[in-house]
Amino acid sequence: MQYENPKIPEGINVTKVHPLKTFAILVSGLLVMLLVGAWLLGFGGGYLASKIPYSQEQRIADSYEGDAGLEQTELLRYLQALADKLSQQMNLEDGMDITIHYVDEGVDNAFATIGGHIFLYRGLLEKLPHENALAMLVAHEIAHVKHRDPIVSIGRGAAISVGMKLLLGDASPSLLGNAGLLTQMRFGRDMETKADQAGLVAVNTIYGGVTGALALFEILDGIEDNGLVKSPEFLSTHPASENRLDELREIANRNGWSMDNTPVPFPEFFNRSLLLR
Amino acid sequence: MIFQILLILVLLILGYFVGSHLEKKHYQSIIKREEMLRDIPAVASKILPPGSENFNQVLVMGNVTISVDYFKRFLAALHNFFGGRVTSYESLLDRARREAILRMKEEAAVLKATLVLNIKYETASIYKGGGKAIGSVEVLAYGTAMIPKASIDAV
Amino acid sequence: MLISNLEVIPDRKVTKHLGLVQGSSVRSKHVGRDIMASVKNLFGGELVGYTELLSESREEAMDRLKQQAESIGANAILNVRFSTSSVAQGAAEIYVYGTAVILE
Repeated sequence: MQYENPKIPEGINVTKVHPLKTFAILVSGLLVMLLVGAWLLGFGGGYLASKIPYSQEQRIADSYEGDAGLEQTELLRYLQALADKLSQQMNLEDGMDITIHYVDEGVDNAFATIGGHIFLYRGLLEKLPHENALAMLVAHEIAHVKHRDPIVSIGRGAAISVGMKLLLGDASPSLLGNAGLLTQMRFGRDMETKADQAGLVAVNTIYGGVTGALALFEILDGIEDNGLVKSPEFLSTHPASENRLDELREIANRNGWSMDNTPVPFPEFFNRSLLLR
Repeated sequence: MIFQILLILVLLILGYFVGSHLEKKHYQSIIKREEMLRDIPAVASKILPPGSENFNQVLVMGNVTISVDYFKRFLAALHNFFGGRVTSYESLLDRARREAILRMKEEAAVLKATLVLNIKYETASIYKGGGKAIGSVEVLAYGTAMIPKASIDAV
Repeated sequence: MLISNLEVIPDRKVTKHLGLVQGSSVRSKHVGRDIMASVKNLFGGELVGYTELLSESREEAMDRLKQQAESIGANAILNVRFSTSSVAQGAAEIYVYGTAVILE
């Protein structure tokens, strides 16, 4: 019997693959899974949130209601009356009522949040030329409320943040814990487009034409152009105003809605009240 | 949060470069020493070779604990998530086994053995590093060294 | 390639011992399987996913063992032993080693 100890070639028990390559493949796989997971969570959260009864939504909103003692100014009464007229036209479900809040700040902003609360900022109102444009703005926000967009987007955000916290091991997944959620709500682009369309229908019915309504988007377009950075459309949830304008014009054309009706001017106190600080 | 991510990134980069450098050096030393100890065969069989009455038998063993770098541990966790071959642990185990045998043979060489019989391995993960992934592995190799009686007489 | 855990093969003489050959494989199952297994753990019974994992690993380890033996010109591996170690949660290493020999 003979004993020998020949050299065994290297690398039989080790897979020949560069660790960095494996790393890249696995990390990108993980990222894709996370993105898909976040999307599914968001979708599921949004769907579940849309099933929350509206009365419940109002109760959630009321717990955040800060300015209960609202000053009933002439301006606010006018805005509220406009909103009521529009919401009647837009066939809101029973129990869905719209509350207008006027914010005396120079920001070009307006948004709808849960519980049918709509916030209008002085900055944006000052730039509006006539009642039709204002009506389009309010109708757009009312349409968000009607479509339950605020609660859906909160549902999405909450589901994703709960998912993130579970994944990252954060111990305190508070559902509505952050107040930023209420004001920094982002609606999906499809939500915005639907709200535009619903708003346009309502404005057309009330004012017998869409001229003034389209003027709103011309103004929004101007605001975007003046901004320092114009974010490209695919980065922003709001469709670019130019595209919105074209799309809405086409809808109006198709339905034969008038595009040269005379816009209704603001009541004489409107600009005066805005200037009063 | 950002600090934690940065820390992980730094550890990954450090782990990768230092770890692969150390691994390369270890492999070089393993291959060199294997060459030196090539004249002592180690076999798993228990049958005594003919003429074994001219040999003395001594138990020899070698053990080693090797840990894996942060980068490979991270990679292993990812592998664990997706399933399949955990390639980043393969070289760790390969190195540990060969190192253990080498240390055993070095002991045998000191005893002037010419052959090691009935090799057995024992593997244990002794240190549970952060989380559930192990950081290191211990391998013990042992066998019976066959020492020609003549060489003992000479000593 | 003859692989056996016998010391000697009846009627065949070992002409040459070629030393130790070894094969190892570390594998894991994806997270889904891990979760299923932990659910199944509640009720007991065979964890099919893990049985599969181990037999896959074993096959690969044997394959590598054979490769090593072939590369040094052996025609049999005797006294083969398996050892299993759990390297990490949900991952297992199968290690197999034996003596490569040339049978007449």
